Amino acid sequence: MQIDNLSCGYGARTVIHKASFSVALGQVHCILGPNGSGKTALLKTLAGLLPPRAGNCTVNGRNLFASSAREKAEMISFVPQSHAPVFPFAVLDVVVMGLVGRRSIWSGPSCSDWTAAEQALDKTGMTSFAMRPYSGLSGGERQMVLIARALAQGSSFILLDEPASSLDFANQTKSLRLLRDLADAGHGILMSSHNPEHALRYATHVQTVHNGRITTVENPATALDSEMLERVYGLRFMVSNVCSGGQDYPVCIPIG
Amino acid sequence: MLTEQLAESECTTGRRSRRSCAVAFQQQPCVDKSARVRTGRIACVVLAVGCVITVVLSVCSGAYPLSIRDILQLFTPMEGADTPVETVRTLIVDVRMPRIMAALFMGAGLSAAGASYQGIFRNSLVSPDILGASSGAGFGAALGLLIGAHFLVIQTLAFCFGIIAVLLTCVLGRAVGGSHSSLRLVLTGMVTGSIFVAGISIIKTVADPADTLPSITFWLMGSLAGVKWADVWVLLPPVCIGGGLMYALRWKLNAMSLSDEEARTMGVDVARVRMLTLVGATLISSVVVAVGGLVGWVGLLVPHMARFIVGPNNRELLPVSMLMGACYLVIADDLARLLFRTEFPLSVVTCACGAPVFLILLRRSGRGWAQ
Repeated sequence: MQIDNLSCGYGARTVIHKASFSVALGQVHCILGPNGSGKTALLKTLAGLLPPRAGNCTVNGRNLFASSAREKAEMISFVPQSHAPVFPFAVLDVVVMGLVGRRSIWSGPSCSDWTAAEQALDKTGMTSFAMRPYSGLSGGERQMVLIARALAQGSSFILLDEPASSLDFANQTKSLRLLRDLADAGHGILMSSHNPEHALRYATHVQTVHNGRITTVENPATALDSEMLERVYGLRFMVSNVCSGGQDYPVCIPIG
Repeated sequence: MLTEQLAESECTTGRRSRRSCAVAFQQQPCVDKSARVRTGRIACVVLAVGCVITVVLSVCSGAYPLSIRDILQLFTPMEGADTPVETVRTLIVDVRMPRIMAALFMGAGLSAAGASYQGIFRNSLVSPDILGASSGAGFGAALGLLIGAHFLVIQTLAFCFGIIAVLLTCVLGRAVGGSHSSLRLVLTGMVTGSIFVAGISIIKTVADPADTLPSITFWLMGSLAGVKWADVWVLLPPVCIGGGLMYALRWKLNAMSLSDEEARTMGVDVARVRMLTLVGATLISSVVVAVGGLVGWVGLLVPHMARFIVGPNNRELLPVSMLMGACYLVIADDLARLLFRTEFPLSVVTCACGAPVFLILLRRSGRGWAQ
C-alpha cells in the first residue's frame, strides 16, 4: 500500500498535509498523535469514508481512490471504534456482513462466505460466541468480532481506528497480539493509537502526527525516545525498559 | 483449484444444493441449519396457516354469518346448506373477499416497509410514513374529495401526492446538506409531513361541512368498507414490487442496520440501497392510503413483534413481518366491522390494539427507547 502526498480533512478543514508513506504486508504500522491531530481522518480517508483532498494511494498497484466501494472493500477492510448497535444481530451474522458487500446488490452470502466467516471467528478465538447477540457482548469481545469481520472480508490490508482504546489491559493485550499475529500471517496492518507503549511493544513501524504533518516511518525501538514524545504530546516522558523473567518490556511514563 | 472455483460459482448462483456445496469444500455444512433458521421457517409456516384460517373465518363472519357448509357449496353441491348459493356468491366474491384481500396486502406491505425502514434508519420506532408519504397521500385524497372527483382520480391523486411528499423530503434533505444523511431525512420528513398536514387542515376548513368534510374525515380515519376488486388489483403491484425489492436487499439492509459507514467500508452501495428502499416503501405507503385511508401503527408495531420472535436478521424478519402484518390487518378489519352494530374506522382499531401491545413489547424486550 503506497500513499503519496495525501491530504485529508473534514469539509473545508484540512487536518493532514501531504502524507507519504507505504505499508507492506507483514508490517504493523502504528500512528501516534494527540487527540484531534488527524489520525482518524487519515484512516477514514483510506477507508473511503472521507473524500481525499489531494494525493494518491495505490494498493497492489491499483488506484484506491478511483475504485468502487466494492473494489475498495476487496483491497482494504476497516475496523471502526466499536459501538453498541441498535439491533441484536447474532455474532456470526455480523461477521458474514463483511462479505455481503462483495456480492451483487441483490444477493446474500454464499455457502463459502459462511465458511469464511466461521474461519475468521475461529482465528480470533470467538467461535463459541457465534450465535450470541452482538449487542450483548463486552467491549473487548465486540472488538474481536469486528476484527473477525475485517478478516472475513478477505482484504490484504486492515485499518484500525484506536483498536485498544476503551479496552481493559487484558483485552488490549489480546487484540494487539492478535494484530501482530495477523501481520505475521501476511496481512498489512495500519492502526492509530494513543499509547506509545502499544507502538513499542506491538508495532514494526511507527509514525507520529503533529501539526498536520506526518513523520517518516521509523523503527519504534529506536525512534520513540523521550524527546520525540515530548515534541508530539508537549509533555515530558520517561522511556525505559522493565525486565521481567529475562525479557525486556518497554514502558513510557509521562512526567508532570 | 479450478474445480473449487467452479464449485464456488455454482454455490453462489444456487445451482448446487447446500449439501453438495459442503461436500465440495469438504467442510461442515452451511451454517444456515442453525436453530434460528428453523425458528424462522416454523414461524413462516405457522403464520401462513394462521393467515389461511383467519381468511376463512373472516369470510364466514359478518352481519350475515355463513357456515363452512355454505361456503363449500360454491365449489361442490352441498346438502343441508342454509343459504342459497347465489347469495353466498355475492356475499363472498363481491363483498367480503375483496375487502379481506385488500387487508392482507396492505398489512403485508406496510409491515415490510416498516421493517426495512427501521433497519436503514437504525431505529425501531420508525414507521413507513416517517418521510411524509402518508400525509402527502392524505392531502391528495382530501384534495380529490374536495373537488368532488371520481373515485379513481382520488386514488391517483393520493398516490401521486404520497410520492411527491417523499421526493420533497429528499430534495429538502439534500438542500439542507451536512452529514448523517439518515437522520437528516427523518427530520426533513417531519417538516414535509407537517406541511401536508397543514394543507389537509386548509382543505377541511374550506370543505362543505354538510357533505365533503365528513367524507374527508372518514377517509383520513381509514376504512376498507367500500373496497372492490379493482382496489385489490391497484394494491397488488406496488406491494409486490416493494416487498420483493426489500426482500432482495435483505442482506444489504442487514449491513446498513449496523452503521452506514461500516456498510460502506464493506463495499455496500449505501446510497443505492437506501434509494431503492425509499422507493419501495413510498410505493406501498402511498397506495395503502389511496385504497384504505390512513391506517396507523401497523408498520411500526408488526416488525417489532416479528423481531421479538425471529430476531433482527432481515432474511427471517421480512417474510415473518409480512405474514404477521397480513394476519394482523385482516383481524383488525374484522374487529372494525364486527365489534359494534355500526362499522368502526380501521385506524381506531389498529391504534387501540397497537398502543397497548407496543407497551407490552417495550417492557418485555427491556430495551425501552434506548438507541
